[in-house]
Amino acid sequence: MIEAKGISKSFGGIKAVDNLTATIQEGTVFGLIGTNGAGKSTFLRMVCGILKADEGSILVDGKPVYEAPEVKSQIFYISDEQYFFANANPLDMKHYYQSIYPGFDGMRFLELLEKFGLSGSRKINTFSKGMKKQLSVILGICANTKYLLCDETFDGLDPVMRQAVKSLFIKDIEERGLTPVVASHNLRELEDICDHVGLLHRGGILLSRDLDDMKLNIHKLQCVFKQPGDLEYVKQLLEVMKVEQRGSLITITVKGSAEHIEKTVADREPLFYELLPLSLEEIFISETEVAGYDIKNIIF
Amino acid sequence: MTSKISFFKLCRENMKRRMWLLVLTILTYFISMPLAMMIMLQNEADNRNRVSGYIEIFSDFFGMGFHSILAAGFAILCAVAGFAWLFSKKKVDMYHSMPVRREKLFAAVYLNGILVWLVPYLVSILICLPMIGSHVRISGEMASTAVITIGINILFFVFFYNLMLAAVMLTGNMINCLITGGVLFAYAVALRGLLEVYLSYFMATWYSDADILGEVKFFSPIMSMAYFADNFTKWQNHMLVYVTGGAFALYLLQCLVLAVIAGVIALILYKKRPSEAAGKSIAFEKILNIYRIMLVIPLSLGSGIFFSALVDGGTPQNIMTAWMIFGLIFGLVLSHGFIEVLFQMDIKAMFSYKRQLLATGVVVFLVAFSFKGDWYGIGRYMPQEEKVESMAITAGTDYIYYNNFETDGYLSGETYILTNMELTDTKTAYELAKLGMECTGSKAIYNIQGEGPYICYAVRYRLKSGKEITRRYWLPEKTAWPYIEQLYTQQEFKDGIMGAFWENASAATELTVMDMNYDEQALGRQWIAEFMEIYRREYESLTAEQILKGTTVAEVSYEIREYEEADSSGHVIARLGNGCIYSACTETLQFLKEHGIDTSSMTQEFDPEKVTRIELRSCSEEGDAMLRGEVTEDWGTMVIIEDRNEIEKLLPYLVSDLTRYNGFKDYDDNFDVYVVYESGAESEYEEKYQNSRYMRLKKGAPIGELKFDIMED
Repeated sequence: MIEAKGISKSFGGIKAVDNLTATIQEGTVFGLIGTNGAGKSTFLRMVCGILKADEGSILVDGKPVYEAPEVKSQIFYISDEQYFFANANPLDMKHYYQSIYPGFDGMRFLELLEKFGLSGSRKINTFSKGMKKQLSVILGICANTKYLLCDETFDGLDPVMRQAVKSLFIKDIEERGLTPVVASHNLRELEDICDHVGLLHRGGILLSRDLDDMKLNIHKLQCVFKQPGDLEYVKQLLEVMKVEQRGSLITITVKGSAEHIEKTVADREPLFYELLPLSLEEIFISETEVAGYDIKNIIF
Repeated sequence: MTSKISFFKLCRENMKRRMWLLVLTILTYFISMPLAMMIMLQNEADNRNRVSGYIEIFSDFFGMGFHSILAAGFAILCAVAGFAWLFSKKKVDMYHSMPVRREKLFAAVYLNGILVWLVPYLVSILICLPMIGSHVRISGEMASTAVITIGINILFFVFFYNLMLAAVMLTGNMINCLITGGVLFAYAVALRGLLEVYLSYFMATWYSDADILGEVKFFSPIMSMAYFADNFTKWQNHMLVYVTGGAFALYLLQCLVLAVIAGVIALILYKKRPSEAAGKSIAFEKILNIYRIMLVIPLSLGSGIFFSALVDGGTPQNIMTAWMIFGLIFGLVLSHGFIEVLFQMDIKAMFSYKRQLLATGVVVFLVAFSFKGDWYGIGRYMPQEEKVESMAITAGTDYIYYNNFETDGYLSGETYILTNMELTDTKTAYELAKLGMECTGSKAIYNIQGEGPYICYAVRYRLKSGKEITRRYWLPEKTAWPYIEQLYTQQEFKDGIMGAFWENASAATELTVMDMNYDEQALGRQWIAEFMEIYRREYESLTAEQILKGTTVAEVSYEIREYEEADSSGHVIARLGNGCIYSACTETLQFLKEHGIDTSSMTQEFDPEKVTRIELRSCSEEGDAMLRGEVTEDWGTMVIIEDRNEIEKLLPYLVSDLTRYNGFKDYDDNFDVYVVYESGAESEYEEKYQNSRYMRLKKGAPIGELKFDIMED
């Protein structure tokens, strides 16, 4: 488990992370969402021991991470622009990481290279951006560390590759309890990968939730009521977050189980109603608006 | 999973990253050592004195010199190349996210930086040794000198390397790293030099005899190396003796300690250095203000003096002050702005710290004007007479030189006098000093020059407290002359000028006399003692008039050699020279004549019939004006006089160039004179170069009446 307790980090008077407290549970894919400059990279660089927090502490499995090789050996960090040695090819990088991470699985690395269609002997500086990202992920997976921190790693990966990476994550989560932490500014790219999501804004964490919980407990209801008072009735019985009305069509974002919502609405015998799932993006819009933020100004 | 990563593996992986540097080192040392030695040995094979040639080659390769400079260059390159990854965020992210303690990573990169140079260097030496060894027998002393020098090169490599590493750790990008490296290497010496310039420029009485190299030798590896090289010849003769017990051993130990301290500082800085420093100008923002001020103040002060010195010495003082103020402001604004642009990489950031600029400006002006106004009383200082135990004074004298290879090294005449003269009867010298003080006072050097026929002399006061103070004064010749005449009646004064010449004479093994044609003749060794006795007796009886205003007809120099059985030519222990023989030294000249020295050129005037050509080259604006009738932009006009009638007009004014060492010879220093004789030589070359000499022109020569052709470039 990764625990950040009240950590802050400033760069030349600018607070990149401000009193951030968060917990990342083992065995989940943790998505870290935030705009550029929200503090995602800084947070990850602190978690893997590159940066030292000005205040607060970061514990990985209960131990401080900074300058602690035994703790850091459990973490592999893929930066937003992963560095590969000049003129190196994937096999060179494999040799290097093998000497740094004793648990590095060389056989699996070769297998994955083949599966992803990457040549082991081709110079990395001739790879496309996406290919470099794939190689980074393969190196990270094969390092066999407990935690894999990915900073904007999925930006630039096509959906097929994203799914391939996701399946790799799932396999390693199941087999050896890998905990990937994926930072991105793009909600849509994380939606199909993450189990748990934390939203960073201006150096602090706005919310941190389990994605399934969020999805199961928040819905979008579209309906047309017979009577004008029906909407007020629904509002009183349900935890309504947002109401939008266009003509007679009312769109309500509402918290609660699908059964309870349906039953409540059905009682009013509306002319039409439909319960729709929310995208991660919509869930965040709703959640953050409730928290007093205009998400459109935060993310988009 | 184990977290222990082998140090050896780290080193190996790091070495893979710097193969280019290894290849460069190997190539450089292959070319500069085995290959160069092979060529030099080949070239030496046909030389008749090849043994000494081989020994020289040995000294070139295993002594201080090119390979020491090469080592220093590689130290800087290895330090920067090894840790340049600290300037890249991407690389720092990778290296610092690895499960390796920073000390361990530092140690691996640090060690590789040394090995990448050391291994090719040592291997090249191992290849070269048998190569030279097959040509010349390497004596124990040669071998020990070589081993020690190799050790010293390694020591200086580490010193340079460690200090450059500190520069890398302090900065976040390559440009600032190189600048900071330059600052670390040169700051102390530049500061000390600037102080000397200010003292010399604003205080005419300031005497610059500071051993700047000695003072700053521990503030920069460059200076440490230069200091060592400066003393190398002296130490080289008895390297083992010095290494095992002398000042040399202590010096090396001090260098080693400094190198280690620099290394420890680099390590601490590395550990403290935040990873986010990559790409920034300075790794530690807190030192930025100090760093900026440290650079701006001396740069501004340097600029002030530069602009003040740019204008002509005859410019009114207020104009020079205005130029100095301009220079200070210009330097202040420019250096502050430039440094800020460099730190922030943004031209708009030039004046981000206006308050600091203002405060620094106040400090700069205070410092500059404190020197200009002599607020500290350095220029005006003169010790009270009752506190003076003894004095030394140069007083426009002829100088000898004294070069003792075993002890002090080379001493110029002035240094020798100031070091060795001990006037216990200080009355005359103090009076002369006091007059000089009143005349010179706290004026700046530019106010002294050009005010008339002055003589310049140095005075050293030895106080009863043990302190020594040296000053330089200016005084009109007429005012000074009676006192100088008086000084020449004091035995201590003459001993102070010529003491070493007399004291070492009994050990002289070779003595030569050089006449006005610069022809040298050796006096038989058996006559040296008698000659020196006559010369000394006669010299001591000469008056100031005879010495300072008479004609110097010859110069005496001698060597002291030590002979060993194995070395018939011996080696020189000391050389002394510039002992002037004046026209009044009749007994001395007679003795020389009687003992095989051709003294005709010493005792006879020029034969005008022999002179075929006189070349005059102006060496001042005044000289130019005299030759051309106008001042030109680049003085240095040369004229050739070949007409017999014109030559004869100048002949009475030609005097020996041997007069150059004293301040009372009344010659015109606006001209260099080159006289060509009729030789009867067969070739033009011989006529030009074997029958010609440099001379001087007495003041009052009728330059304006001469007819000549001006040689245009």
